[in-house]
Amino acid sequence: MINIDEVVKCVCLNAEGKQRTLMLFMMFTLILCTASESVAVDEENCLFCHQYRGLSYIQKTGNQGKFRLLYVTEDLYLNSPHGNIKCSDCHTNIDKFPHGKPVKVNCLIVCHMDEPSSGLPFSHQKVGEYLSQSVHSRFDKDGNLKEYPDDYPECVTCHTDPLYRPLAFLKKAKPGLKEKTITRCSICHEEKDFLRKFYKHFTSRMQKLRTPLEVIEMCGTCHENNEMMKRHNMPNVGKSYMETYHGKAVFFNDESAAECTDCHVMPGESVHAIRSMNDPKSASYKDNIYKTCSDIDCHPDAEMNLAGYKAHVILSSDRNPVEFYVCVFFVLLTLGSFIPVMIFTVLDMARNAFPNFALFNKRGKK
Amino acid sequence: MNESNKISDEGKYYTRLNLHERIQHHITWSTFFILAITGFMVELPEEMLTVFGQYKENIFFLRGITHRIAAVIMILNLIYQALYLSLTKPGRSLFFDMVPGFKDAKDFLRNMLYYLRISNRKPLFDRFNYKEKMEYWTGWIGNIIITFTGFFLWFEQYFPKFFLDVSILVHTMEAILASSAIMVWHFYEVHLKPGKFPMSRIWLDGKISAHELEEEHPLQYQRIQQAERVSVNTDL
Repeated sequence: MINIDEVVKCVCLNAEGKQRTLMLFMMFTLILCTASESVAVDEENCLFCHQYRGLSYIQKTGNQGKFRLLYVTEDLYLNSPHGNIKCSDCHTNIDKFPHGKPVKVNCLIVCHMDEPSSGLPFSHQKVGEYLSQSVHSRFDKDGNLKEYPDDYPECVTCHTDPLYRPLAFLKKAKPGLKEKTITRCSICHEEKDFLRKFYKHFTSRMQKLRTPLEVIEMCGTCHENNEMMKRHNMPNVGKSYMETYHGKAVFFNDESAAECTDCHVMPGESVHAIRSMNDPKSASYKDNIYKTCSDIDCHPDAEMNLAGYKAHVILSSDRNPVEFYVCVFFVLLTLGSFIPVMIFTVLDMARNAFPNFALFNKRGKK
Repeated sequence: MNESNKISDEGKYYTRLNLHERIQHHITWSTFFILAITGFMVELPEEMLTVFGQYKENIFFLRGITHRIAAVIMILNLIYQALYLSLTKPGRSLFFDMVPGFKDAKDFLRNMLYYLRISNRKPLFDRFNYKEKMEYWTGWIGNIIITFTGFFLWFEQYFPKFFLDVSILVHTMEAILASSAIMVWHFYEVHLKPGKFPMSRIWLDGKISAHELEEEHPLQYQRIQQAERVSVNTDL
């Protein structure tokens, strides 16, 4: 727990005279204005400092600086799935002020809370196992670090709190899932804080955490990064996806259109287990595609014919020669007919509009 | 042509498109227009479609339905045209007059010489010139291609993946080709060409003036004149 006296002492040591008085006055004003609400839900009192929007620093990384924002939005944090976990459960070496050099958060550590079905300490280790088998793992099959390991995602690359969406888009369709439902729970369960946390916990897992468009944008942070994709000999799949009907529908906020995880994760598997399309266990492996498409929500009639279907074709002579050369043929056909037609039209217009025009006057003729 | 033998042309009109042909043309241009708009909506950059605001989802849904309805009408119109061409006398006449021949190649070369002012003699066209024949037959070929690829995409679950991969490309590119040809060539020939602006009236009442026919289709005009003279002489 952070001691307020220590904070005050620390601030005052770096100020003198009138400045010190002014700073102390400002600090106590802020404490009076904000601390009462924060202390009730933040027993370690981390928000005493981290509630301020400007709290940040520049971390030196090589020759460049990286902007690190230390501000915590209290409301978003408390309503996130981690809202009932103490800060120090994850930020394990923060036990004094000034904090000292922070240790990077390890999402796979055992939490100071029990998993209710087994009663055992909770951990995200299982998710880590899925991720380690996926194409997004930093290690290859033999356990060696892959090339450009920093390009591979870690938990926070995709997961940014809050991870849930209120069930607003379902409200019209299923009134039973309205946020108002919580009032039914309160008939028996009196503790409001528990109700809120339980509701958030439950509803956040009832649906996809992000809208399809948000998923596309999230995956696109890497898969639409041309430099990074070039390093891994991959095309910009985000661009080719957005050219498809799925991409267009997702852009129009269609919740039912397929986004990345719908087609690249086997039905029933964790989204963390995305595999390479060349892996026979992958949902996008050529023999599995029809099963993925025929998922009951999408194209239930899809059959073996769809095996090998490329949902978003990358037009290159190496990857898809047939599609590439069909495209080249049509581009040449279009230009080959369009340009002559334009020339004929201009010539026709010129001849009709100026029938007697001649570049050179013929001798003897007026 | 000898002026003394010429029958007076003033205020005289001939039928260039009969009722069947006009109906076919009206169905073609209206469905083409709807198909082009609803089809290219998928190809436009997303940012341009944000103008629809909160209605964009519904508009996207209706777009698909409208595209399919217009496509079915266009296909039925193709069948109507095929039946007309094969089963009726004017249809068969149109078909045979549309068949391209060696004369069309010669006409093309002569026309190029005329355009480039190397020659001052226009080629003498018959009922349909080489441009009209090319437009007509590329229209048929394009329609057939776009119909089949459209069906593959509509009923995607019944066709092999190769058909779908290629159909997506072919359907879009054929549409680009057809639309650009219509906008540049056909619009110029019947709307923007000097003497035609704002439009030729043939598509509305099917009539062409004798003067226009003589200018643009002199061989057909001569044939008609000859037939009329024979008819007048017989009556006398």
